[in-house]
Amino acid sequence: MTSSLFGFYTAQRALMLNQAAINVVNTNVANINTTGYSKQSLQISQQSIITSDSNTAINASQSGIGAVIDSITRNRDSYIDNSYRTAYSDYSYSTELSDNVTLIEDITNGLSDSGLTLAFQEFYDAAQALSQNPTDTVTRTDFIQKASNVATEFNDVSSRLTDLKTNLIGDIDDLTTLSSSKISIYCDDLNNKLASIAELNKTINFSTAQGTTPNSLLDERDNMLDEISEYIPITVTAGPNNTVNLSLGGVDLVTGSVQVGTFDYEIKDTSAAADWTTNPPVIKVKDPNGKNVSNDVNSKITSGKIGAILDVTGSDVDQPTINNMLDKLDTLANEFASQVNSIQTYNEPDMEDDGVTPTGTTTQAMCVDKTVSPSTLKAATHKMFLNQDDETTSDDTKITASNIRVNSVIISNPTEVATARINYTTATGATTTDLSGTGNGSNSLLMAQLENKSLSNLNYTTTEKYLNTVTSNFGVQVSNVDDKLDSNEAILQQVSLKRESASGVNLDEEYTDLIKFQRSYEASARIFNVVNEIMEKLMNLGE
Amino acid sequence: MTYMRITTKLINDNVINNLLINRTKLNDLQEQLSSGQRVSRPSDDPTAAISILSANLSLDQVERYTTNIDNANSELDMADEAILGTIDVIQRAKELATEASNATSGSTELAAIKSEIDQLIEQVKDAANTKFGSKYIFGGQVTETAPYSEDANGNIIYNGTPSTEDYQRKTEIGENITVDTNVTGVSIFGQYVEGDTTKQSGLISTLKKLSNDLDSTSPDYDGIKASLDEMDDDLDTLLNAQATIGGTMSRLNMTKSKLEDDEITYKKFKSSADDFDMAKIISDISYQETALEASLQVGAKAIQPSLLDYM
Repeated sequence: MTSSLFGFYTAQRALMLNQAAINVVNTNVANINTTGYSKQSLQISQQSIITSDSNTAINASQSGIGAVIDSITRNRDSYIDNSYRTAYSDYSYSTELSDNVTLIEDITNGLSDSGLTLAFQEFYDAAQALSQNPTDTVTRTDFIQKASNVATEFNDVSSRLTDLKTNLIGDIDDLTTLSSSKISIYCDDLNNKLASIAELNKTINFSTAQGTTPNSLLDERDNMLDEISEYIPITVTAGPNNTVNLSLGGVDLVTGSVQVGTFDYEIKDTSAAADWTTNPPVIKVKDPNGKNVSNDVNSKITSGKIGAILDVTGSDVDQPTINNMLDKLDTLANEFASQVNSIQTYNEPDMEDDGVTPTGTTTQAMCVDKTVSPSTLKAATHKMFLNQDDETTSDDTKITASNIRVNSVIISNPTEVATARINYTTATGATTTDLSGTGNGSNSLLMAQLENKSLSNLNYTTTEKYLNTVTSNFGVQVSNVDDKLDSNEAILQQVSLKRESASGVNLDEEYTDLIKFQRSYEASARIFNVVNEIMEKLMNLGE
Repeated sequence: MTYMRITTKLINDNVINNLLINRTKLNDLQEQLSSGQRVSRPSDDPTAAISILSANLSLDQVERYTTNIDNANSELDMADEAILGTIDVIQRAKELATEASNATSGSTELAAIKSEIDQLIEQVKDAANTKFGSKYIFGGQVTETAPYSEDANGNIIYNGTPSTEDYQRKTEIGENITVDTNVTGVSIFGQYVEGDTTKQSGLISTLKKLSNDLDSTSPDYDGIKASLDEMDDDLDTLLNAQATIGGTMSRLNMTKSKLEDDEITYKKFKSSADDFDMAKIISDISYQETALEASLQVGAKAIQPSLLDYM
């Protein structure tokens, strides 16, 4: 025989359960727009009495003593989570890469009405004008100005690209910039997030061991994992008590409640001098004692924002990188400067067709001597472009886009520009008549004709065509990166939808549940009343 | 029937995504319309970018060569006018020489003729010292100092580049194609140095000798008559120079009209790569606007209904 008050407790449990269920609906609706929230649902089971005595007579308790809450679970699919994180890493990689290559493209844009392309055109225009008016001072000064423009444009583009690189990965000549670089800031953020994961694991482990499921903590941790996959590709494996272990390409980062790996961005061998090729800054993983676990994980970071930064600052010749662009500009600056210099200071004995027998005449580039009247030609001895201010130690082979400059001697003495080129008998040297032709503009004409000269160091193209090829090839690469971004975005979109479909909150569903549990609550209350009435009747039986 | 669980956030995200996509497309089109350029950076359309860049390069060269041709033409025009003026001088000198051969010695008439011949010599000298801008055009490569000077003895000396040396000044009118934009003064006008036969040539020498022959006390009638023939030779020299200049100028003009054709070709080439069809872009824009409006309407309808509306 069951207790007379038995029905009260069953009804009370039902009331409490329905209240709890309404509370779950409440939480779900409240978090409808919360990032990383997964819909929670109530797992209910019927509560039965396990009777120890098999001889007990059949009674009401055999139908159970009502329902109880088993657990409140999250709607979550770890397989979709993994796909999402991979897709998110790839997408983040593409956005970061696209942002940076677009910046590079802007810096070197050959389609704009300014910049290096224009500087080259104006230089050749000025050389043409000078070849027609070599005695005109204004034309001469203008030519030097245009040469300076070319040098300044090279310097400008080069320094903007270098600045971009410094912002991303720091400057090797100033190691303090390493810690303020974007990659280092990303690493710091990543370390904080890894620490949070370890901390969350600890709490989750504790709660789970106690028998509760800390849903909000699990959501928070999963969300943190998503954020980590924005930077690097991660491998997540399940640990005991709802904890997770985190690793990057086999290097452990978080094991249970301990952050076993910390990212550090510094030069590879801290005891040696920094060098871009032999001892560059790399990302290391260190254990809690500061000991290196892995000396260089660069190659393992193949996606995520950090992966993109490593790629865009890397040296893969097939990728759109800052280094490739700088190398090409350096090649162009060097070849252009060397060619102009060799025209400017040309002084060679003429040879027969065999190339070895001197013909007895010499061809020499000449500038103007204005100190005598009438002015005459004199041998041009000053180079046009230098790699440093001191001409005596300047080296044509060391001219790059960053250091190209116009010789200050020529800037202050425009007459030193070699406009003329004369031919004289080697034995006697140049005669007064040879030197009288200050209107000779043939050397300037050669500088102007450099425009159409195919140069072997520029893959047998001209200076301007080389520049065009560089910018348009880069355009092709940028457009490939953008296409990749589009497809990665589409993939992420798909996976997000899948995940949202599995874990998101649907208002219709929640309202249905709300009504369901409300009705259920009402029914339980009704039953409570009925039981109460029965009790009342029972109480009054004796009267 | 299987179904996908469509959550409220999923619908919202989808609506926002679609709106953003449509707005971005519309924005791109409006940007193209307002800039008039379809390609503003190489990655917009790499193939078109290559065409645009190479067309820009060619257009710049066309412009440069056209400027060069214009400059060369002006300079040659100047030379042509100077020579034309000198031809008039020869006509007048011939008349004077003819008159002089019939005049009596010691007469004031001879003195007058001599003085006019001297004037004509000055005129030739001035023509030979013609300047184009700041440069003397008949001095070969010596352009800063006047090619002709007169010393105290009345010698008229040529100081420019000798015609045996490299006197040509060149202008580029096409890729590695140059033309000479000058003729040397000494080969057209000659020079005269008393007692140095290597420096007595051309019109100046003829006129100078004529002037000497006209000495009113003892005129050299044979010399005067001979000068008439010499002047015919000098006239031929001048006409030849004019023909050379004219030939160069007509070559320049032919090249220029070819460059003008090229310019049109390159511009067409460039605009086919860079420009857009106005009608097409406007219809694209209105199509895109319709798409945006449609997604706004659909979005408004999709977000709105939930069970709540019916409770």
